[in-house]
Amino acid sequence: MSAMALYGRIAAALLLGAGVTFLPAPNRRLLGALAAVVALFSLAPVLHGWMGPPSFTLTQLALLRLVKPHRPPTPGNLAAALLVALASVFYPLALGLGPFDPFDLGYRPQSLLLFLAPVGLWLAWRRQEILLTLLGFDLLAYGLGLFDNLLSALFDPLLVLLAAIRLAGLARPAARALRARMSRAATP
Amino acid sequence: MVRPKWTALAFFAIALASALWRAPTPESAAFTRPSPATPSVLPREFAVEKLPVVAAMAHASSLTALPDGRLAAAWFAGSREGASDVEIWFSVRDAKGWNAPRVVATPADTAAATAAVVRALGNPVLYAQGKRLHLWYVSVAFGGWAVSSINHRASDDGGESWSPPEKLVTSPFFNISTLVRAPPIALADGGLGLPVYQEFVAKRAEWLRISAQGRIVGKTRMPSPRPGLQPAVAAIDEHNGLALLRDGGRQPGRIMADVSADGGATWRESASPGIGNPDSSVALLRLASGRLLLAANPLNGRYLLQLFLSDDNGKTWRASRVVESDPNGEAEYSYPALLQTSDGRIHLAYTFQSQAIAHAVFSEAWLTEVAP
Repeated sequence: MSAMALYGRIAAALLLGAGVTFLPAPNRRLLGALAAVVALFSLAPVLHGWMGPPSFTLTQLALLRLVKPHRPPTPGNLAAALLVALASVFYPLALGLGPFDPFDLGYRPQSLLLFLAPVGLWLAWRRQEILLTLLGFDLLAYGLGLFDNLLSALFDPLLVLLAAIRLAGLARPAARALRARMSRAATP
Repeated sequence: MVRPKWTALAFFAIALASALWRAPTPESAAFTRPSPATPSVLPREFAVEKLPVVAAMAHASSLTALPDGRLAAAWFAGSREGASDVEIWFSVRDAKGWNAPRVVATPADTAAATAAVVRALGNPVLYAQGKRLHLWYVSVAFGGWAVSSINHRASDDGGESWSPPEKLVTSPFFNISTLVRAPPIALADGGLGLPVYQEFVAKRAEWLRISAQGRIVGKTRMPSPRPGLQPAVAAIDEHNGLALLRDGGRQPGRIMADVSADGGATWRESASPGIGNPDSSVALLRLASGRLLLAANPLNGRYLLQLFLSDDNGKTWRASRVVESDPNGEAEYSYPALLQTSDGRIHLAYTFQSQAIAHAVFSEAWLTEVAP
């Protein structure tokens, strides 16, 4: 079994375990850890077969969730918004909408890496140590040869979906407040 | 005490340096220079035979020449296309004929090695690069072929034993919808250019550049005016290449063409050869004589398999021999694979009635003589 296959299976198990921690149950950390172990030998190959190897970012977030289930999701709202915006252009192009496949950039990622250097400095300046560390581990996973394409290490469709769900969760109270304000303004 | 900000930044810097160190910097793309054109001296000859039948259905053969000169073939076979009992079969032809076929990939061993569920296997591509024999093949975990991914195995002993399958990561979207059908082209840097295609959202031909170390280092789209599939590629010289594409659009279709002037780094549309295509795979080969040979189903169905020749690097084509034809228009002779061995003989493998793989061997003289 290759390193990537092993990683994909473990990452899928961690994702399933992290998913279990969202259930309203006591001792979610233990329950999530148990679910991850069971999934490693049962459902993880199914999930891995369906979604391919998850990004290293998503795997790290799953691990964080398993370790601290009560902690709020780590990446900031701005990061989630940027990811969703990027994905809304990236995936249609990568899936064939046009002559250029942006996934190609990740196979020879020198320019992407040069772009990420100031991003890292900006994250450090903004004291976003956790995001900076997550990004650092993504780069390390690529540097150590786990991924052939840097973009596969950085994000995947499930991560984008989770970011979109998070943004939708933020938008709901805002929309409710806006509706309340408008109805108040309309009251004579 | 070191503040977390600086610790994280230092770690990020080290990780960034490791990524930069590992990022590949491939040479400018170039095809391996084809051998100078030498006219064929073989007399007119033609023979056809069937490969041993291993299951009710057989399809999508691929040919290569082993380092010792023997011919090898791979194809998929099982109860029906897409069934979970479909396996990849491999056979070698020696002086006695085709050896008993052996299974070289199954859904179970692919699933075990890739740690992922595999429901069905498809299209194998066999290619000998020096002493190393490559096998790429398609697998799906769910759904149809549009959600396939590509697996790779290698053998250093002529197909006796194989490395565990590894899945290529070729798509950012759940790594689905990359398929392979035609053999790669050798690149000057020791790597390979593998023509592939996707058909999940849009049907598009693509070109994967694989380094000499087996790593994907580039992925380029091959444009086409209509949905293009299963590109078959021939190198004309170090820089120029021709790709012919299956028409996956509304029928009646026609073969589409792409050309590259930079060793496969970029591709652009070219004039169609003007040959019909009923959404069916084609095979393309540059002969030792410098001519290009095309095998295709030119009519509105897969019941006629014909060869075409080009003397001007694919600018114009003329019809050559009809290899198989069913006057009732019901049979299927499809998915051709072409190869020329070092003795000058040309080999054509194709799906025969979805039941077997047929192997025709002929000389260039047979191709160029007027049919009786």
